[in-house]
Amino acid sequence: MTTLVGTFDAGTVAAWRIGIQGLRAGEPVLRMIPTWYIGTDLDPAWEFPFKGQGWRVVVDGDVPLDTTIRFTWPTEEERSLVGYGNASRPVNAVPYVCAVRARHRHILRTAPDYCPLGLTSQQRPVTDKEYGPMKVANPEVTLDEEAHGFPTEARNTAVIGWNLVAAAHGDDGKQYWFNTGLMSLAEGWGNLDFWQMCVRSTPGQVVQPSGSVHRVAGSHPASQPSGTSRPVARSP
Amino acid sequence: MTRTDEQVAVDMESAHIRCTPDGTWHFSVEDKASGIAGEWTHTGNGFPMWYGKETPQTYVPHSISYGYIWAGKVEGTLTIQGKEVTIRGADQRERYYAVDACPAEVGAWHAWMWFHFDELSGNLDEMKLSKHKDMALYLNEEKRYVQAGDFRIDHHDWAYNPTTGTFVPSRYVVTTETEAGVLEFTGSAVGSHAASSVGESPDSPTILLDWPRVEGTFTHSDRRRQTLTNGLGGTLIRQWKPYPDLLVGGAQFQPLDVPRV
Repeated sequence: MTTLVGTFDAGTVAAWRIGIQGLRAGEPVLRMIPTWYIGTDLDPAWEFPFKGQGWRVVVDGDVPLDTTIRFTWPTEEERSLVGYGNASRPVNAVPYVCAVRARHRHILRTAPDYCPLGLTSQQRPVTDKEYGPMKVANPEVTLDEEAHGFPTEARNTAVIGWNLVAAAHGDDGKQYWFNTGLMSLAEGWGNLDFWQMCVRSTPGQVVQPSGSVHRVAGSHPASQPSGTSRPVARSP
Repeated sequence: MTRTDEQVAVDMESAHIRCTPDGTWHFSVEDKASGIAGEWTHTGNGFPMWYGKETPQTYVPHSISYGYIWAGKVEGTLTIQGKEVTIRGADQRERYYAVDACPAEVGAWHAWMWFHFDELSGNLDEMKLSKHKDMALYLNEEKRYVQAGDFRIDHHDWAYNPTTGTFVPSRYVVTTETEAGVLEFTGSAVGSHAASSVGESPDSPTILLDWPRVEGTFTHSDRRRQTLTNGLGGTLIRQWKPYPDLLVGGAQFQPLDVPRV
């Protein structure tokens, strides 16, 4: 088959399609299947919703639709201008896929039969062992944990802290919420020690501003004392 | 920080904590700039929920932690602008020592929750991005510690939170299922505090949501349903990033002088 962008011999690839799905609870709720081809005389034969370029949009819902949107741009003319379109998606995706750390590649679910570059070989399933709930044999807290400093394997963004958040009732009839923390940060955070404390007392409420479509979380009134953080000079 | 056989002392200027072997922390804090001071004691109930003890918890490769969070009782005094108030309630303390702490990678939908009733207490920790869920319950009457199970946090009544430029859930409905029984409780926020944020978009701020009370029930494994009393609690959430500030006034962010951890 001869086209404006070259000749395609019999037995070579003349068409491909890629399926992109959005899943909810493991079931597809959105699906897009772009199909790129230089001709419809294929072996094996593929079904095409129509000849030429365009989109078929099918909605299976309360208002079911099956619509076709056809481009009036002549296919041959478009093909001569952007004949590299087939390769652009996977080729442009290569650096981004390679940059994704292995543990996040499991979100890249590509259908193997639609994946010309074999990206599925990069997937790495997340195991329960890596992300399962933490269980400890002895849950008791000892002074060893209370006194623990930076772990021996600490990186430059290590952090240690002693923190607290509280909700309490005062003998003045008010309710108080407060938090405090004493923390030390490693060199990646600037070799910083700091402590902070904040107290809130007057409840706010969620309100619907007039004319808005959203509601606003009214925080504790700003007039009350709140507290600050205090960087502390670290001892040499 | 100094350690003896009797205590661990953490001292930073006018903020002091004494950790003692009986499971209590004693705080003494004075913040002259804001006129706030306090002397109070946290007493952990039962056992804590551990991030890591014998082994670290690897949330993502750039967030590896040891430590615990522990719900309990708080008792002491707060002094605000010279007025001393005796306080009594519940709280959560955290001992945290991280190999590596990267909030951006921990990222979206971190819920760090505590609850305390007369009958039980516990903690939940969920990071949806890393698909991580930890929990622990302690049942007082049975003296039973449960550190396995599943839970679901449903977010309701979303509202725009101007201090962080984010939409936050203002009402939480939580269901935990364990071999000891099913705990169900709700909490509604009446205020918030951006605990750590650079205050610029995009960011992944941590936001403390203050709950005035927690209401719940516990259905024991023998189907006995118990209404829980005197519930207190709260949660800290970390969102993926603020809602686009061009839409709803995020330019009003107030930068906070707090390290971003």
